[in-house]
Amino acid sequence: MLTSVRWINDYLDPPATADEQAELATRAGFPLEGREDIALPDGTDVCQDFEMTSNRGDCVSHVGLAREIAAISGRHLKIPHPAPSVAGPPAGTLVSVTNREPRRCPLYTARIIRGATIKPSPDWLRDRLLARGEIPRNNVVDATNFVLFELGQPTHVFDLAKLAGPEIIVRMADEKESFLPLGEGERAITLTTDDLVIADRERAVALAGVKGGGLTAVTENSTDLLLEAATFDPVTVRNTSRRHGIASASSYRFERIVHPGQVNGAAERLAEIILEIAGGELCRDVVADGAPIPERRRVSMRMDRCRQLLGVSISDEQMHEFLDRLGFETHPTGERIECLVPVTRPDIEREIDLIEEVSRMFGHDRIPVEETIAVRVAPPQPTELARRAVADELVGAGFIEAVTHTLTDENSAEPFRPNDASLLRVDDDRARSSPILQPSVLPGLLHVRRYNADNGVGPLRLFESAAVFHGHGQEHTERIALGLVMDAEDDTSGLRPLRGVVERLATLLRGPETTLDVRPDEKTAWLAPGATVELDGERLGRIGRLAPAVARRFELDPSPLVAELFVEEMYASFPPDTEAQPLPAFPAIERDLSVVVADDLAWTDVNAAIVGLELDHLDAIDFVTTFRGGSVPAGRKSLTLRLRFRAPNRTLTHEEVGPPVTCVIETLSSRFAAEVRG
Amino acid sequence: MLDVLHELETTALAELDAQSGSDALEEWRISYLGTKGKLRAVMPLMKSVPPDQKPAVGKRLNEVKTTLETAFREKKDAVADTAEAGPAIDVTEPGFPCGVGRRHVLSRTIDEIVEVFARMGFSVAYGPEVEDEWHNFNALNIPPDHPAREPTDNFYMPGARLLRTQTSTVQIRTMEATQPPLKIIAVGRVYRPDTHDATHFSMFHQVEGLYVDRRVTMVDLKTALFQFARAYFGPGAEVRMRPSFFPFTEPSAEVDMKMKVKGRYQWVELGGCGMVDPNVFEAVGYDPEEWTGYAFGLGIERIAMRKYGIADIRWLYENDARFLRQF
Repeated sequence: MLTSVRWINDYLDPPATADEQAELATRAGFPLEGREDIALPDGTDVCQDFEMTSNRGDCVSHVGLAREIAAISGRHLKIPHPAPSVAGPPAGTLVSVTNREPRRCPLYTARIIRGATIKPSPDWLRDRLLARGEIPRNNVVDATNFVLFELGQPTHVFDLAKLAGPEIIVRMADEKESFLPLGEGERAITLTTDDLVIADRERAVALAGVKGGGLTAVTENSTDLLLEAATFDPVTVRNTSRRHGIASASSYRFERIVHPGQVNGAAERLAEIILEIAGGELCRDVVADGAPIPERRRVSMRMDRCRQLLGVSISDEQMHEFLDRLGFETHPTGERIECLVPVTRPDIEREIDLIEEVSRMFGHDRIPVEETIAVRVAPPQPTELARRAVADELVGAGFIEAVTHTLTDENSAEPFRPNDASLLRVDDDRARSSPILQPSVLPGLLHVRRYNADNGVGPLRLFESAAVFHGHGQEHTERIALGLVMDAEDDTSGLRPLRGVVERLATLLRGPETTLDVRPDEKTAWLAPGATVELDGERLGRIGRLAPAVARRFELDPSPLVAELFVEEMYASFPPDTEAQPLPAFPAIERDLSVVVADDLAWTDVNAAIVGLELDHLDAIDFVTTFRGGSVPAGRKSLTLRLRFRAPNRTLTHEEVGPPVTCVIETLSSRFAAEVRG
Repeated sequence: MLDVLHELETTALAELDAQSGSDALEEWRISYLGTKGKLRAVMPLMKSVPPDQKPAVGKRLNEVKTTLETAFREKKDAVADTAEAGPAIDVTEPGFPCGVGRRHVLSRTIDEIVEVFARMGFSVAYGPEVEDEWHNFNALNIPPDHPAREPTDNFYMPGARLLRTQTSTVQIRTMEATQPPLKIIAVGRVYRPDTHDATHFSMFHQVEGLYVDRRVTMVDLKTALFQFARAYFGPGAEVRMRPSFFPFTEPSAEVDMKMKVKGRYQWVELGGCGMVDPNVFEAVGYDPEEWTGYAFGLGIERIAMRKYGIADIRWLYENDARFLRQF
């Protein structure tokens, strides 16, 4: 809300400087957003812009802000009391008003001034408008703008001679009814049956609460005027304003509720000003139609409740004074203050609303803070501990955490859509290029990898933990996924570098005894090769190398190693019970074994076959390496593994481990046609 | 005999001192301390020592042996130290980059903030990002016609769902599932269809606190925010509350905190707060006469941007590793 410092001071005694106004309004809840010195013909004024809250339409006016400033600073508030003199015939003989929509237009009033002279406004009026950055038009239009920003009541003036009838009908627009808005260069717009209009006998002459019409506007030749003052349903005004893209000072104000009880006072003020600056005579009576004007609301507040909620001791007398200063008519009734709420304050409905008024007037800056705070110690949260432990572990493993947007584009999302699920999308034009809720945390990370590659940054290890979404008809699932992206280190390591990270996370979450089950997965099209990962029989997620076709979508070459893990679902049991194990007391004997086997033989099968032998003193079976090419024939690979034997109570002899090693060789030969390499 | 020993000792030590290579040292050892060495060679002379002098001479013999052995070990270690030092090291060469990664500055900020509130007894709560209108609006005292529900301000989805616009939804979900008293902090992503520029992004992070108990007051609210400010921004931090309006709290206030920006304490708008609106308690089935509570919400991006001098919110979401490694 743009304000003039001088204008606000018209209602303050004593007046306040620009700084004082800014400080007091801020304390009342309307912080200063901007300030500009305005040069006027007779000196300077200061335009100050105050931020408004949507509940306080009354303060979108100079009197409204002056009331707040007066109340909070103890100044006297000087409000105009218009009393325009009437002459001429009853207005009802000159015009009729029919309100067919009393719910959407609770009150419509028309006053008639005859014989006015349209001309430029006097300096005092021009100065007020100029200070707000408004361009003065003519005395009548300027008067409506003045009243709007003085009292917060939008009004409109029609050229009576241009109204067919003359008659005013408040009605819904006809389907595709045409309306020409006021203003230079405006074109006719097409209305809908949801638009409320002010019409004369023949056509819509104003878009109710939003915009006046061009065909009935006051011009320099106008003499007889119809002064409209009304109130309209905020939602109807807002919808029409949005629908046609017309936002006006009127629509802004009506969207914040104008009580029917304030309409007539503002109309009198408008009439008084027009008579003063344009001459003419105000006809007797008001032609009005609408719903009964609701009585002023009565709201009461328990003073103890107020003190209890605020936590400060404010005396009964102080509370009375605060509310009186804001214009509430208060009546003490024992434990309570009964208030008659001013019509300008439709936001005051409940006890809590009055408590807030007291706290504003008391001043939030005067609420004390305490040096100590009582604490009920919260129990440990396994999920929180696990979340941080996992992140710390990944950081230790060289991963940088990314935070990417949840919304992504279709091309990036589609490869990660599970076969049995749909992509979720938002209905919003502004998200047109990225309307998809990510089905996986990987697309975002892959874009990050690409972005860094464009900037020459790499190699990289990235992780992100975020929600992923899958649609199932009208239902959807939302889970937290951990995504890992890692540049492949060399051609021979396969998935092992990333798998090592996953294994470490598994150990972190479940302890050293946990078993990670990684099985080839050919169904996941975004991985080649891919594998499913299970932890103690629970599905943890997937790991693999990004399929080349998907890597191309993200312009990544070579394909990175990726994993998507639903680790969050295992956080509840964190941390695992840890029991220290004594270290072995006797040395182990190790035997390396290199065997040539089929290229597609999985390590897990070799491992299982040896475990199945249940050999005495076998302590560990370690994968060492694989080798292809050289003397190894095509279609075969050389696999080196290490067997470790150890007895808990003595040092084993080399002779003792001979037979079990032979047993392993025989088993591998018979099961997998393995040949021992020299 | 004693003279022989003395001369042997003196000669041996002098020769040892003259050696420098490890081979020469070994030769010396064999020559003096070996099984056929010079020390052994004097032992037969013991036979000719008068019996009354034997203990003294025997003791002296052992002394010489110990002295030579000790001198040999020290000399050997000294020679080895020189040999093992290897090629020269230039201590001014730069270090290798340490291979650790980095938390995102937003996550780090969240963790730091949560940590402070955890000390004040708050537990962390989470909720879904795709919400229904009940939790995002109705229960938060935002009626059906309220402007906050405009499609221009929300990412709606089919089936009366939307991306949550505030983490206050988690307050509702927690209160629906839990009886008071409760003290929670909700953290997460929220969404508003803003056009991206230096200060706006259509996704951002909030941290929201909620404390419900008997006789919770505005003083408690301001105290909690004040204690947070001191704990997080340092001993010079302060808190200011300005009256404001939010549908789900009353009285409502904007929260400014005085924090250190570029070495100087400045006021920064950080979020909103207030006493939980009785309508919110009624929506979740709490009796507003029995329970009162406060709630506050702080913007994580704003805190991180001011604290670290990040001029453009989009930098946070580009995830350039060079940027992320700065924190």
